[in-house]
Amino acid sequence: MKLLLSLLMLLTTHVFSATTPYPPLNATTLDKQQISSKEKVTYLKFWATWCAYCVEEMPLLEQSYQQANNGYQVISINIGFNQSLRGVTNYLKKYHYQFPTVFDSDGSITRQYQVLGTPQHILLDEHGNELYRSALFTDELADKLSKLQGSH
Amino acid sequence: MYIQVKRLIILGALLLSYNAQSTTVEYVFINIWDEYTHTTQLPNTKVKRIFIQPDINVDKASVELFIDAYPIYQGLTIDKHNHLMNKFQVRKTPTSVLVENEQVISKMHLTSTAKTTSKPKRSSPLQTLSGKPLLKTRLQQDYQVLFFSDSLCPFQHIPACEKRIAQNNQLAKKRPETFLTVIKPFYVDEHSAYAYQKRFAVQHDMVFDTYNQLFEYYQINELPYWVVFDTQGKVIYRGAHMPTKDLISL
Repeated sequence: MKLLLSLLMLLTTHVFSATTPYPPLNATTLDKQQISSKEKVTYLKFWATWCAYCVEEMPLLEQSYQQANNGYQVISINIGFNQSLRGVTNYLKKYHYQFPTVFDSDGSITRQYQVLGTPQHILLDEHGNELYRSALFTDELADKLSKLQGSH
Repeated sequence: MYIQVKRLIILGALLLSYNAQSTTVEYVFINIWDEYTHTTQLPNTKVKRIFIQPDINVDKASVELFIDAYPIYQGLTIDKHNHLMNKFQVRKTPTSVLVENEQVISKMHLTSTAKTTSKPKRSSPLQTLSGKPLLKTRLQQDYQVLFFSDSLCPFQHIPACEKRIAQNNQLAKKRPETFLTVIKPFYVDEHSAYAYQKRFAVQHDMVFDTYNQLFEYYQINELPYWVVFDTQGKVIYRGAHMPTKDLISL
């Protein structure tokens, strides 16, 4: 009975976490701009400069940002683990990346979105519901972003 | 009497010191992916040492593989949901955290030195694992199906990879000479490709894409991934789902 209850609780927690919207993300970018996911379709990308897959995908992130066409906003989150603020800033400058980036110095944003690997792509609707999540930049993600770009 | 009291005092002191030692633990946070290329200088210790791997980009299998390669890290544990890392506010590896009676008494970033590795020269010709030369621009003439995969499979970045590798093996059964599996070079070397070949019993050609040139050439962002050519060498399918048999002239 105890086991059944525990299983039920686990199931409930899982369903709850999968369907409960995330609270709005409010953060300051490296350019000292306030950014919020509140009431905006938001594409979050978690990454690090030491992550080869992340670095390889960066041009796609920039492209997604440049082509957003008000269909969504892009927030890049550097996970801050084994990273320095200066190193991340220099990296973004070197490649002329324009997308807004937040440095997650204490890992709180990474925790909030239950990110345990990089890269991680999360697409949220305007209410904070998770529409899509993937480790790599999949065709499905590209398709969803493309549809959003054309929706405005 | 005096000697007995002295003995008791010494015994008590020993017990106290043992107790103090037994509650002191050193947590050493390392990152296995860095340890393949760098060696952490581990200071001598008299207390219990526990090796911790942050819960970022790892799974049980990759930790086990790492311990096989570096037995000194026997007992290395994944810090589930980064509980300890958050508790001790560790944001860098390698880091040593000395904890006594649940209190952090010191936190120290450890030094690590780069290992010397010999990477093949950029001019190394592209060839299959069996030594057959390949030309990037001729693959569509030489093969009908390219299957882009990762030797880290099974791993979180490569969902359902085992299933898709089995599907590809099945597809390749009739005409294996028309299939080529291309292995991603990130975080692994050619040995890992041979291990993949053996692990998944791959019977067709395989290539370790040392410089990621085939992945770049075919713009592959997702894994595993198929690219199928028609008899003229034109791409007729790209995707993460198994191509239908009618696309492949079997």
